[in-house]
Amino acid sequence: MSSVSSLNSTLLGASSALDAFQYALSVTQNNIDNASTPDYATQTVDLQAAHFNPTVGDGGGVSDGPLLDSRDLLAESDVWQQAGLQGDASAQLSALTDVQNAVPVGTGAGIPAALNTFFSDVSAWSAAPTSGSAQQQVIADASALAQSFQTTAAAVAGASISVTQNIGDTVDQINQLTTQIAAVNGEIQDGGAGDEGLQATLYSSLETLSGLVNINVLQHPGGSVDVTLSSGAALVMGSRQYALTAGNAPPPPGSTDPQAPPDIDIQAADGSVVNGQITSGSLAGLLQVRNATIPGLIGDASQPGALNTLASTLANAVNSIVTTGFVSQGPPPVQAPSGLFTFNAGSASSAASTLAVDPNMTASQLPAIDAAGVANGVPLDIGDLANSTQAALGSVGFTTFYGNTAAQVGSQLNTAQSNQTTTAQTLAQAQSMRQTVSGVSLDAEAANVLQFQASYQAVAKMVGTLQTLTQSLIDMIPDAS
Amino acid sequence: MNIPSINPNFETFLSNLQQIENRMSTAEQQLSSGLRVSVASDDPDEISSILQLRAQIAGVQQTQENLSTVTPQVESGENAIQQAIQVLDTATSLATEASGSTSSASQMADEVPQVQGLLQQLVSLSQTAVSGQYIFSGDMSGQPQYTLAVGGNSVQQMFQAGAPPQVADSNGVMISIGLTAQQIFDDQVGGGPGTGNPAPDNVFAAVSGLLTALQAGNSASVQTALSNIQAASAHLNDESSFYGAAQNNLSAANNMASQTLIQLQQQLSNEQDADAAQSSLDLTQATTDEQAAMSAQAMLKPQSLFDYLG
Repeated sequence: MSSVSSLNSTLLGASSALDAFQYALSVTQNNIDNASTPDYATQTVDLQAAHFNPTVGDGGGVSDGPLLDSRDLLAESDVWQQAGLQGDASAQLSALTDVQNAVPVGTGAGIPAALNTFFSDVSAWSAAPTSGSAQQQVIADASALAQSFQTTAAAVAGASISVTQNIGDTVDQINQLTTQIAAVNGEIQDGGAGDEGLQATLYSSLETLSGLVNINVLQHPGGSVDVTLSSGAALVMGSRQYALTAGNAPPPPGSTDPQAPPDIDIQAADGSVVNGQITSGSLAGLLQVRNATIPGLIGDASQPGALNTLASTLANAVNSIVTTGFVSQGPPPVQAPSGLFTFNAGSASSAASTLAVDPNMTASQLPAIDAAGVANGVPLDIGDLANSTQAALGSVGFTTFYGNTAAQVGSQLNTAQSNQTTTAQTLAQAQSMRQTVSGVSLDAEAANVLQFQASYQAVAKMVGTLQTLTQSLIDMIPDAS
Repeated sequence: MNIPSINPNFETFLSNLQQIENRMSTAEQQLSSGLRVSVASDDPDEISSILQLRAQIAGVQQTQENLSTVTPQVESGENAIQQAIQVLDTATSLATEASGSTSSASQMADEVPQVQGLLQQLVSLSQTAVSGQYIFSGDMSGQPQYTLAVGGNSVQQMFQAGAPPQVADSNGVMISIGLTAQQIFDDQVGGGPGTGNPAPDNVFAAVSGLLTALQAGNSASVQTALSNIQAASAHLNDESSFYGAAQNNLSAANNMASQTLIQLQQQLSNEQDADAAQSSLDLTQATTDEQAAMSAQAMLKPQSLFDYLG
């Protein structure tokens, strides 16, 4: 092989190396540019050595290989799982705070205070059984107590409406995100494979989606993804999106209270109900409060709800005493015209919201004399209810039953608060782990810059040396003139 | 929409800061309200107990008010019976005087107006009312059970009264606080109501009997009436002892209610009220923690190898 040919071969190799290092520097620059881009995964260049065998004319050198994506699906999946748990806890915390506020336990607030006032003034009536003002006060307190039940039931129903609205908004967000993911999938399938910009957009959407609902992700070789719920209901298949819808659940077969507030069903695109597949994310937390906690208070088609049970039990207990009492023993004896309370007995889930003083009962007709002829037997018996236990309430009294009901909400809220704190930490840890695996390290990129700069400069020097050698070789050629 | 964080370490810092701020908020809330438990989530395990204690306190306070309400009734009942005994003492004197061997029919007739007055006093005492409530009218306290009959020589029962009211003490034990006018002034044979046969110690019948005897000028009948009046007086003394016992019961119930109220309020305070010293300490500690966390975070300047490149 001639000297000229060898120099040319070496010069070509150096030129190729300069191209490779320039390309590597541009990748590093792109990494640095996207250091703050959500869900951007660091890319690296796989530099590949060229064949080197001067005897056959292979001058060696280096060329840029394929871009390597540092994204780790295991780390992403861990982040999605923690984001789902945090979304669940945060949604429950927010919704349960509204529910707790609807069931007050403060001094002088809500049903407990109204119960205390009612029983106190019934007791006062027992000390002055024929006092018109005492009877009037009892009627007024009974009305206030009924109003308190109505107000509490309405407040819980208001919280229910708010949660239902949030469920609708969350489903809308899920559908927007799955639409975006399907669109990105389409771009990837249309030639965007390997585009880390598209991947960053895709995985950012997936992380946000995982905070709303639990997802399973299947990645295809080109980088597009299929997204399903945990048991397979499709959300995104390639470039096609499958929307979720939220609506009222029909009453279960055999329901004795078809007019009760309906639960909320989430339906997949094929119309199947997928509530059971939604196990984490904001949507799961909202469904838990909407379909379990709130019906536990104001009922649904399969249960009356604690407030309604309390209202109907109280009304029945008081009425059973009042209706056996006498306004006067006569002759002729004058019986009570009705019970003290009335409510819609035809719908177990509406007892609290319809509780009222029976319009047939007036203060002057409020009976004080019991069946045994005791002058204040009726108020004494009603007063005894304050400390009695009721079989319909699980063998506890009215106040304790309300307290237990409020405590259940408070306990759930505490659990949600604790879970939110814990999952915020575990989510940050998962994100940190992902950052370690696939995030942009400015230190590493700085080192790459130095390395590629040094290599580039060395090769440039080499090119200069080769140029000098080539010129020397050219100068050795005799002048033909 | 949630924007995923790109700096997990900062997320961890914010999460920790949120926990510190939650502790500060709790301490501030407890200090400003004085309450450890304001909502159910503050202490779910204690909510039922707190509500039950509040209900018990309200019940005991009402019991105290009820005892205060009925105490004047019992005192008035006792006073009325004592006055009735004095009326019968006067009647006894008049009967003793009229039953003497020297008493003539005209002298007896002269005593008739006085005895009529005594009967009227007894009827009036049977109509004793407190705050508009006739305390001897049993279950019909809106009206008197007895009135003076036309002519003023006898008494008329307006209705058959049922059992008088009772009052409950703070443990729910019933205390009898009164008798009916019939039990006091119109005792019947056999003790039951409405037999129609006055017992020998019947107050109204004894005085009416004296009045009839005096009007008839029959000294033997006056002697019989005297004997009945003495029996009626003994009956009133028996009934007076009932009111004495009722007053003692009310006094004991008041004392018990006061002690129970103090115990319940102490119990409620233990379960519901904030420990101000502990809350202050918590607030101070959380404030210090927050300042330390902020300072530490501020000192962590974001640096990389680029800072050292020329």
